[in-house]
Amino acid sequence: MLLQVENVYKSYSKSCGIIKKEKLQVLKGVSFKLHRSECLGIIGESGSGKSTLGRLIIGVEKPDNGNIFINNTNINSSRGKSIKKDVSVVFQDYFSSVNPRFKIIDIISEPIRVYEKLSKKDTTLKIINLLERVGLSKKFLSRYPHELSGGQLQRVCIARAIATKPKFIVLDEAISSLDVSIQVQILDLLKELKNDIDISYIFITHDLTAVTYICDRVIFFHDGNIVEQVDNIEDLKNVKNDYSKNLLQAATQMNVREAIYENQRVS
Amino acid sequence: MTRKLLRNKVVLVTTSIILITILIGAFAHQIAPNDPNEASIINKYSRSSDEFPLGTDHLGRCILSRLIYGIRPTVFLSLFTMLCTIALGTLIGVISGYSIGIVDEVIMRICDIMLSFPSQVMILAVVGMLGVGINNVIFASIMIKWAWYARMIRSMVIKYNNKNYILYSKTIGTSRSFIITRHMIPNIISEVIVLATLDMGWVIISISTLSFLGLGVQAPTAEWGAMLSEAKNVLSTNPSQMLAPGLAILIIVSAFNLLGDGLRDVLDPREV
Ligand SMILES: Nc1ncnc2c1ncn2[C@@H]1O[C@H](COP(=O)(O)OP(=O)(O)O)[C@@H](O)[C@H]1O
Ligand SMILES: [Mg+2]
Repeated sequence: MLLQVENVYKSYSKSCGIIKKEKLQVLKGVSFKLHRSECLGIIGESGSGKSTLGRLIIGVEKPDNGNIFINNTNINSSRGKSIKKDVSVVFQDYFSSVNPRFKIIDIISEPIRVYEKLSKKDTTLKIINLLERVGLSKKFLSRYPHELSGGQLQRVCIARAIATKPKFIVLDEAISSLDVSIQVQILDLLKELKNDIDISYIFITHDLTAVTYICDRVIFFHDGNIVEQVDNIEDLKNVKNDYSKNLLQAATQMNVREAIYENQRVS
Repeated sequence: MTRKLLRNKVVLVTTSIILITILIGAFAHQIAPNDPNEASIINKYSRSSDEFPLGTDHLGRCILSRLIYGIRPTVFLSLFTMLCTIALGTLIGVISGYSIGIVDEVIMRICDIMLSFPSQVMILAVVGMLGVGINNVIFASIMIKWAWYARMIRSMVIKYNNKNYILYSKTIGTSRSFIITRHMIPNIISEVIVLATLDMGWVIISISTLSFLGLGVQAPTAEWGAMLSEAKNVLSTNPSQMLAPGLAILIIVSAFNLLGDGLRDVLDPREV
């Protein structure tokens, strides 16, 4: 099993006044699995705890309760460091995802430096290779992030994410801040990468259209709980839970949008 | 970065003014035409001449020499005060920003207390308690200001620690030293430098003010604020006495403020 999330709880303490603290339960017993080479969609309204779940999976925060296993290693155990290579992440806010003082070449060389001892020349070659993979040319190497468009910067983030050859990538609303036409391009890039290299995605979003476009399986997330799982994307229309139905209904225009997607892809 | 610094005219001019001032202060012995403390009653209030380029004061001392020697207490002590304040503020701010819970809470409440007093009143109170003298003025200034920097740096540490690029670094297991030296420090330093430069003007004026009031640098040591104070006694008969020390303070304080503004532009990575 690539990733196994077992009964995970997480709460934040919210201070009201100086001394009084209130607990805000964000995740209430979440369990699911991720297999090799699949794209798992996690969909839910904003504030439902999706990003929190993402932060637990990438190991920057610890669950209050429950365990997360990657390749059967508990990520919060002493051996948890060794699986850091297998995980990567792409955030929604691409501008704060990169250090504004770094050039593109420095941004992508950070993960390479952690796991490979390459000479300067080999590192640069590898970075050019990665940039080409995500559809950027080497003229971007010495540019600063503010000199790139949103779509280009998100491609840099994806290049950086695959630089360590991770087993899976957490994509937290990775396309949500982009224009619709750029969203399609990025989704196509992600699909292409998934075919080329053996990689899984956890695709966190509030947008059902994107889920139908790229995901193999879908989890409906509501208020810190998983309310429904769809194991075959074709069955998406047969959801039973009320919340999932509402979400689905809200996205009935998705067919219209999907048509737009297709058009833009062709053009 | 250096190229960007050199291209910005404001930064270039103000840094030159400050550097030249500092150099003149450092080589005061060689540059000053006269002994700053040598009084000669016959020569008092003399106009500018070859011997006294800016004339003399009420005791017949060379004003130019006093200005030059005055750089040491005025500018050097202000710089020293600023450095100590930043060092203390950074240390406490970083500790507070990285520790969660009780330590952070206690430090922040102490900062709140320090910040709840008006700063000039606090300095007067501390000087009143410890006694008159420049050492106490510096000590008081540091005590007043460190809390402000500690709070600032704490919020920066927390802000940058939650930036997505640091979350990414933590995800893939980048070493802590890389995160701190390449991500945290450059960002925090460039913000602190701007604030500190803008604050230098405040410190210079503060030290000069206290010397003007007779609480800081003591006579006969030359200091710009103290020179102003002596000049004000003869304001009605010899108003031109105010000119030299007043202008000197004006120029150096403006230079630091403009430099702060210029640095803000240069150090912003988005600025092309
Ligand atoms: N670090 C935090 N401290 C306190 N509350 C938080 C923190 N992170 C998230 N929350 C709260 O947790 C809830 C879920 O947030 P999030 O996981 O970002 O939701 P989503 O990504 O689904 O929009 C929100 O109500 C948010 O206010
Ligand atoms: Mg979110």
